[in-house]
Amino acid sequence: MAEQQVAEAPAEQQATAAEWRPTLLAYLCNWCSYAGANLAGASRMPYDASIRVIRVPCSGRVDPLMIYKAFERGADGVLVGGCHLGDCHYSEGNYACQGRMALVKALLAAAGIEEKRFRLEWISASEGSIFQAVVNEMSEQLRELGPFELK
Amino acid sequence: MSNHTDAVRARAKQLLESGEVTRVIGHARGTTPYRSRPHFASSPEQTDALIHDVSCGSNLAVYVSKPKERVAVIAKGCDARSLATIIHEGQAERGNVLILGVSCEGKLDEGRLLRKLDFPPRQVKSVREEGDEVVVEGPAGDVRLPRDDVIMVNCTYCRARTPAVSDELIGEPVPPREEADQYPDLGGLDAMSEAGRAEFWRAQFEKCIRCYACRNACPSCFCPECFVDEYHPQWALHGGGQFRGNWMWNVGRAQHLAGRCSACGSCQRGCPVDIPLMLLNRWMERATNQAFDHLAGMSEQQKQLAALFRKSEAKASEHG
Repeated sequence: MAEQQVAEAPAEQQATAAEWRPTLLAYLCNWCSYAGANLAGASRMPYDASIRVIRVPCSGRVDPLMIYKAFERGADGVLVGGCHLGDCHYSEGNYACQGRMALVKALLAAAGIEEKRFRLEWISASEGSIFQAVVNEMSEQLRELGPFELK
Repeated sequence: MSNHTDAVRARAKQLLESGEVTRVIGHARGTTPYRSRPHFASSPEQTDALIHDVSCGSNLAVYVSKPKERVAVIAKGCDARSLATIIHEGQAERGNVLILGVSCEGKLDEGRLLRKLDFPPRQVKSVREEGDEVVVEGPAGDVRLPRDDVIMVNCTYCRARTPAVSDELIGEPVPPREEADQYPDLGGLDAMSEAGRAEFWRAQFEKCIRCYACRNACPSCFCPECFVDEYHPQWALHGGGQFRGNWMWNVGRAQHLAGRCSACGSCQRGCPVDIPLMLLNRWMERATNQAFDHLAGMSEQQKQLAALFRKSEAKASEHG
């Protein structure tokens, strides 16, 4: 189901300004957050269609440049999802991610990008409802903030 | 006073005569009295050109790249921080680098100096330090300027006026500036709103011509292939004048220097369009200092910042 949502996206981008829908790019770790998203879909939990998912093997694989690049390419927000601390499939990947994302947050603040445009969340494979809540909440915040422009 | 020319020459000559090192990396007089250039002395005679005064600002650690034989580097506090960092990152063996530390009270910022003078730069005959003043000999005699007005701004909040890591020290130890931990230079950015900061950097990065002088001047930028030169993926659009590509380059650069920058200011000194790169570097230094208790190159035992992210190291306190 999660994949279907993504596949529908292009048509929805045609929406008029009044119905503007943010682009929320999500890097989800294969073992937890992606499975959590899958559960949300399989359980027919509706969540905002602004999300675009990129599956990564581990949240520790998310290079900070991938986040800056997302903003540079016009994402309105970026979500990084990983396993809860202690649950990483590779033991310490999410710790590495946590440290890096602390630097990303600092640098985004320096560059003047609103704090709410970037979020790091631990979502396990059983937390479909948390995935739903996070996506909906963040999409709502992005709607309030409006489009991000770096042109 | 930080004119250590005589002491530097004498020690360099000794080291080369005894064969302790094969080369001494230092500064020599540049094209004007307020400029210096790097100088590589590999025989005792060549040490005569060495100088070390208020003009010797550039970071010499940039010339240390996996030396096969022992070299000595005339290192100010920031150079020593950079050396400690790159040695830790495997760019040189500790035994192959003799860190000849010199105490430092700040080095000239050419732009700040020349703006204070009411005669053309070519009429500067000499520049020297006296007490807390920099004395410029011009066409109508000496002009005395407070040192803090003409040195690099990053020198006015230096935490390493005496090298934290060195094999020997030339000159008397100088305490760190009190402002070092207060980050007064970031006050302007702190006071801005998010939109204000975005606007500020937009104006700055738009100027960038992507000459990569900042990268060339930086001892910590030693990657054989920089992310910005990669074509697949192409992280930053190529060519100057494209704001988005410039933004990616400058932000990516700051990210990669987080926890590794020695605050020497070489990038900013090298920048032909005056982008205040040190603001970003210092911003990241403050962040890593506060979140991870990490300051690059302030001790030999220090771990790399990225190592502190590991679970087993998460709460470790490093510098000492």
